Parts: sequence; structure tokens; C-alpha cells
Amino acid sequence: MPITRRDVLWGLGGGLAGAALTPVPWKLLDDTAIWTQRRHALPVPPRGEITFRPAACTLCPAGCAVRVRSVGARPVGVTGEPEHPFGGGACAIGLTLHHLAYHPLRLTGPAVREDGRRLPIGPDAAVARIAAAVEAARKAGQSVVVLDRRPGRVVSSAWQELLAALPRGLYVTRSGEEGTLTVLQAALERPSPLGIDLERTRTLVSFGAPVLEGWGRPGRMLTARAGLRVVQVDAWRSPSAALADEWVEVVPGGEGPLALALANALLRDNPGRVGADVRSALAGFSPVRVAARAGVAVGRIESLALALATQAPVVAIGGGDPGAGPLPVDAERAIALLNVVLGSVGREGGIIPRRPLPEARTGAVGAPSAALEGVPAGSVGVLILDGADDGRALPWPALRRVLAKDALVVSLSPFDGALAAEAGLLVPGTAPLEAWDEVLPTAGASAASYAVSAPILKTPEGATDPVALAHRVGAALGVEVAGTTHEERLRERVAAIHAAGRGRLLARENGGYAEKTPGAAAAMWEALVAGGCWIDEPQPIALALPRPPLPSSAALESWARPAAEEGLALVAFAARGTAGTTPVSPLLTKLYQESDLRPAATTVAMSPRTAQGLGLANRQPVRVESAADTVAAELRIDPTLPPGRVALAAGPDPAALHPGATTAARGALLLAVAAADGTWRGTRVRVREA
Amino acid sequence: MNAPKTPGGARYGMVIDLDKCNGCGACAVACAVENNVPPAAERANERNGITWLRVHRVEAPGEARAAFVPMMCQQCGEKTPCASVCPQNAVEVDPASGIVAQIPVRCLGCRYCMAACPYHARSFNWWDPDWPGRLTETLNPEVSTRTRGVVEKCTFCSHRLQSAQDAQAAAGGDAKPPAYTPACAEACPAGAIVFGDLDDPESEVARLAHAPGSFRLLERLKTGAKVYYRTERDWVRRLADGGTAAGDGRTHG
Repeated sequence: MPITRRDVLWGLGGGLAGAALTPVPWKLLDDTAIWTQRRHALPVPPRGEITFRPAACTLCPAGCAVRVRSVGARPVGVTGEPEHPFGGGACAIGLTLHHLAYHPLRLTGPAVREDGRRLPIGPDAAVARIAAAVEAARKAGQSVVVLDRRPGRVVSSAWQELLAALPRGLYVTRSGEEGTLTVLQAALERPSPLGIDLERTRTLVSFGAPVLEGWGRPGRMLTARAGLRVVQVDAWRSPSAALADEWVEVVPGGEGPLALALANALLRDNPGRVGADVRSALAGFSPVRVAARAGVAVGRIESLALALATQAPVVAIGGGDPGAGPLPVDAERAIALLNVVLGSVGREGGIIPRRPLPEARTGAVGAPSAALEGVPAGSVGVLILDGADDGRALPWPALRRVLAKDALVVSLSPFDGALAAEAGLLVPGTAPLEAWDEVLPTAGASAASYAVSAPILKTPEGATDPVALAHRVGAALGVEVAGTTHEERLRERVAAIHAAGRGRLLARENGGYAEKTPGAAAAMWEALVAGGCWIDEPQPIALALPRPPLPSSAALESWARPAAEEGLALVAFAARGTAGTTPVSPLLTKLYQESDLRPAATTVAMSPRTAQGLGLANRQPVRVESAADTVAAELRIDPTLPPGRVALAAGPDPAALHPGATTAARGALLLAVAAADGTWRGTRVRVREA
Repeated sequence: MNAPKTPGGARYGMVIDLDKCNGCGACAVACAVENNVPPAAERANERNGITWLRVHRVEAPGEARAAFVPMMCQQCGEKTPCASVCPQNAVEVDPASGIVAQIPVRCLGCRYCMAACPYHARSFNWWDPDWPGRLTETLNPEVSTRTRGVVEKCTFCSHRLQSAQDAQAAAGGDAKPPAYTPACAEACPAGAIVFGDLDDPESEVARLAHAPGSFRLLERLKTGAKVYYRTERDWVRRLADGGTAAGDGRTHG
């Protein structure tokens, strides 16, 4: 039978149809999917023995207890320790703690910065440069300053010993979360550290502090939250305002007047609570007079005051947002005064005393110390920026103000970017998990406490331990700094705590924590290294406050006048740990770039009315200008933001986290205009179409 | 088609308490760390990035507190929309655990599953993964990295289940489904995420899933989701069913 063309076509068609019923095409499709995948682009992480080690996250002062999971020698995961006596859990930033040793901005050794380029130098040359600059500063009558953003550590005492021996050494710290408590502490008859009896507080009034987002020790706040009414006074609907029981919207800079107006309203029914001088200072701050200045309606101030009077014990705190920087000291004084009027100082559920942490070197002569705001302009010849971070923003203009011409700025941060980008000499320290560290009491802690964190990664060559650096710089200048290593000093401190013979040692046992009585300091050290902690005993809560803190007369006069209304008010903000000198892990782009949960430093928000007035539309590229600088950003219209304000994060900038990025951007920090008191909350900006 | 549940198997699920969630994002970051999800590419945004778990903030007029809603693959039941449309069998419901597995090496990248998913819980790899610096040192060897061109999603950290099964077998344990905890639940500092076997009547997750105030997203679609949410706030529950905070007359299934 002849084969026709039709038969061929039938055969082909039938064959194709038949093949479709076999696994062949599906296999081809499957293989195509596999072949087209770019396997060469995929890293294959090596396997190894899995181990778990305790550590502390030291990216901010909270020092949350964490557990580090390692495969072989590589840490691959971090989780919070939910059972830890300090309060469990870790934040999103802490969960990437193990990334930082491998961060793209990590510095690998000392370098000098010339014409914007980093030129490597040896460690001896770096020490020699510091010593030479110190000599030059001495001859010029300029100060040698170490800026310590986590004071109270053994590293801090090493710096103080070094500075004490230098002719014009000055140990400098900066205001942090404990602003209100510091003001009250200074007014005490017998100054001692203060804490908050949060577990028995009924109402917490936060003047801009991110109490529900990352303040003090977050684990403690989470535990206390159930029985606590939180009133958040904030210039924008911050995460804490969104989680609070009540958000009181205040104009930027209106915190101090509002605190005084609340105190004024409270005193109407109980004028005998304070002396005549306080009553006189408050007389001009009735709710009616303050309403416009604070941007809060009279009725709202009255009802809030009434609520505070009936929901005692109440604690009011300031401290400010980590991105917005500290509140002016006069605002802190006003908030402290509100606490006095509320009767919250020295009572259960209020502000209580705590004992200081035992020190190993009580006999050591400390250097003169000052707050950054108090350092005279142009007086510093050598500025050493200690590598420890408080996770809070510090704009360069606030530091530049104190520098003399040709001053040497030395950054000890293990990372480039942020303030290190302004340093002429880089002597990188160790990254998290690479060195010993310690955990001190946080803002508001009701008792002293202590923990140490042992290194998990090997210290890389080129990273300098700060204690060793202080020792070497001292040696170069003929100054003795005792204790050459960090570990040595930590052991001394643990011995001092042991010798004090008070408090409880809680050691890890069977996955939990059990109270132990250490027979010797060495046993206490071992227990702390294994993830335990020490907590002091509670103190009698009585406090004598002979003279309540009062805002300065200049502040009182200024608050009595209407606020300046030029341009738009900049509301800077940041989550704690995202705006300091330590960069965040590139994986944080999950929150700051691939999600709208957290605004990054590249998006600027304003109310629909403000945007309409400026002729701007949602997602439009804009330029934000201040007297200091200009930043490019994308506009987001946010109906929760009050008119006349512009909200911009102080970090992080996702673009700075991508491969090839050489610096960490600072968003609102570039725009910051530092005032004489070192704050930058009064910055005004203009927003234009890009 | 998906096989019915294995006798004696588990049906793993979770309950997320929205009244406890404070929107810190720790769950999202822990998920990315654990599952080797790469950092965002330069051009990635909230629509095309790879996020196995995303936290949404929702507000309602007149409500003092915002709600934060962690969203991941809802681990639908036997009528899983994504599995039913996959031409490659790259999505499978494990009959022994109920986990909707995603098998990237089988994925052709057609994205039918993304279109079918009513929860927008799947991500497509538009770019090759890139860990800047030396971050590849921190990758978890228990989870394969994925290439450009495939879809991925939450797997309830099924590799942790495998590890738990291995440990159980090594210890000579019984055949009872092992207990394990996904990275998000482990990381949540507020204790808002409870995970376990929904079919174990003695488990905390089963008790919470059936307690008053618990609900599933888009319940009316009857996807059999194994992720439950809880809240005492009515307006949040109304939003969860695709309505408005003020209410639009829709009822819950």
C-alpha cells in the first residue's frame, strides 16, 4: 500500500498525541525548568556541627540576651532568650547581629582618610598619629576628648584613666533615654541613679520616647504592658503612638509647655504639693494659655490632667526619639517637674532609687567629664569616637561645632559610614560577637544588673580592642592605663560585684535560670560567661528632693510666646539601632525597602493638606532642603500626619545597603541644624518637586 | 491533586494574636535569616521583593490603636489554590504534616500560583540572589538557596520539622508528630505567634484556633487556611474578611 502524504501527517500527529500521553514532554518541561536556573549564582553554605552559645546583643544599651546558633565556626542565626531574667526576646535588628562581622561597610584595619580615600596604615602608625595629635593639642591648649556613647563600661573607665593623665583630657557623654531621670537625679539631696518601678506603675506618659518600640529594655516593657496605660505625646503617629492607649498630638517643641500645663492643671486641686517658687513658675502656663503653643486643645489638656490625677501612680518620661535626638534640657526639667507635681518621685509605682553598679577601680582618678552639649565650641583638638553605639542619631554638625580647626577625629567604629565618614583616622574595633562586652542597667531599670557577653567569633587581624588601644596610646604618651585587655578588666569588675556581697546571681540551668550562691568570684565569672546574670536587691524607695527642677527663665519666656512658623517642621525619627554609627544588616531591606512597615530615610511623609498646598502628589520624587543640606526623597502622603510637618527617618537608607555602597546615608541627619544646646529638633525645611 | 491527610499525621498551623503583635518586624527578619532569603535587590520594592512574611499596619478612623497583621502563606487545606494551578507539581501539600511545600527546582516561573493565591503571599525571584560583603558566610545550610526565575513562599520552616523528625527517630521516639517551632514564632518577642498541631486537641494552638475571637483571613473563600488570627477588636475582624473597618455587611464564614 502506497504511503501518502496524508498517512505521514496522520502518523506524525498520532505520534505527537501519543507522546503527550507519555512522561517525555513533562520530563522535558521539568528539565527545562532546572536547566534554565542559574545555579552558578547560588552559594552553597557548608554544613558542620550545630552549636548554641549565649551572648548579648550590644547594638544598643538594652543588651538583650540572645542565643547564637553556629554551624561549625560560622554563626548562622540569632534568637532571643525568652526566659532570661532581664526580659526575653530580641528586635529585628538584633536578629541580624551575626551579619555585622561580614558587613560590606566593615573595616579591615587602620586607615587614614585623605581626599576622601581610605589609605591603610599600620596599627603602630595609627597610635603614633594619635599621640602626635594629642601633643599638638596640648601645645595649642585644646582638649583631647573621648566621646563615649555607652558610658559605665570597663572600656569607659580605661578611657577615663587615660584622659585623667592628659593635661586637657575630657571624657564626654551625651543625653540619652534617661534624660528626665538625670534631671531629677541632679536635684536629689543625695544623688543616686534613678529607675522606674514600672511593674507597679498604672500610667506611663511618654513625651516622644519610643516606649512601645524600643526603650529601656524592651522585654521588660512587654511584660509590664498588660497592666499599664500608655499615653504617648508625639508630633507624629509614631509606632509607639499607634500602639498606645492614647496619642496626644503635640507640635514639635511643645512638649515642655504641655508638661507645664498639665502640672498647672494638677496643682489647681492640690497647690500645697510644691513650693511657692514652682507655683509662680507655673502660673503663666494654664491650659488656656498653652493650648495654641502645644497644639493641644484646652479640653484635651484638662481631661488628660484629670485622668492622670485619678490613675496614679503615673510616671512621665522624656528622652526623645532615637532619630530626633534628645529633648532640650528645659523640656526634660518640665517633664521632671510634672513628675514632682504628680507625686511620682520616691513612691511605689513611680520613680525610685537604685544602687550604682559596683566598680572595680573606685580609687582611680577620673578625668573631667562633660555632656556633649556642654563642650565649648571650637575647643577640641583630638576627638576620639569610641566604637560602642547607643543606636541613637548624632548628626555631624552637633560634633563639628566643638572641633578646633584642623582637629583630628579618630573613629574606633568597626564600620565606615555615619560619623566614621567624617574621621581622618580610622582605627576599627571589633564587630559584635567578636569581643568581650558587658550589659549594664538600662534607662529606667529599677535595680542594678550585670551580664557579660563572651566572644563567639575570632577577633580578626586588624581589629583593635579599645582597652588595648587606650593602653597603647597611654604608653606612647608615658601614661599608665592599668589592665591591658578587655577580659582582664571585666574579670576585675565581676570580682568587685562578687565582693559587694549583695544581689542575686541567676545562672543558666536546664534551659532555664536558677539562683546560685557563688563561692568565689571565679565561679560567678563562669556563670556569667555561660549566659547568667546578676541582679541587685531592691532599695528603700524614699527620695528627698529639696528643690524640684525648674526650666530656665529663658525657656519659660520662650514658651510663653507663640512658636516660629517659618517653613515646615522636620519630624526626624528612627527605630533604636538604625540611626547610630553601626550600620544595619542589608537584610533589614525586608522591612525598609520591600515593605511599607518602616519608612526608610529615602521617603518623606506629609499630610494630604500640606502636599496639596505644595502641589505635590503621592510617590513623587522631591527635594527636602534645610539650612544645612538637601536630600532627595520620595513623597508619601500620610493622612495620620498633622499639617505643617514633614516626617523623615534618620536611617537607614536601603540604597546604602546594596553591593558597592560605600557609606551609610543618614536621611534627616543631613538636614539637622544643631542649636546651641546641641539639639536639632527645631530644624525647619522646605520641600520642592525634584 | 493533593493526597488526603496521612492517618496519624499532623496538621501544623499557627495562631497569631493581633492584640499582642506590636509590629516590630522581628518575625519577618527572622524568617529571612532562617530561610536564606536574600537582601532586597536595588530595584526591589514592596510589590516585587521577596518576603515570605510581611507585616502590614492597618488603621481605622477613631481607633486609638493600630493593628499589625503578619501575613505569610496561609497554608491552605486540601483545596489549595496555588497547588491546583501549578503545571509543574512544584507545590505540594504534604499529607503527613499539612504543610504546603514549594519545590523551587521544579518551578518553571509561570507565576500561575501567584495569580491564584488570594493572600498575595508568594514572591517571584526577579533577580539572582546577592548577599553583599561576606554575608554568604551566615547562610543556613539547612535551606537551599534559590535562583532567579522561581517562586517561593513560607514553608512553615519545614526543614525544622525534618530536623525534629530526625532527632525523634534518633532518640527512638514514637511515631507521634514531633513538636517544632518555626523561626517567626521563635523570634516574636511579644509571644504573639503560637504554633503546633491543629489536630492535637491538647495543643495550645488547637485551643486558641477554636477560641472566641479567632478567625481566618478571607474565610468566605473556604481555602482551609491553617493560619488563624485572634483579636478582640471587631474592626480588625471585619477587615480580615475583605470588608472595611466600618463594616460593609459581610459576615464571617
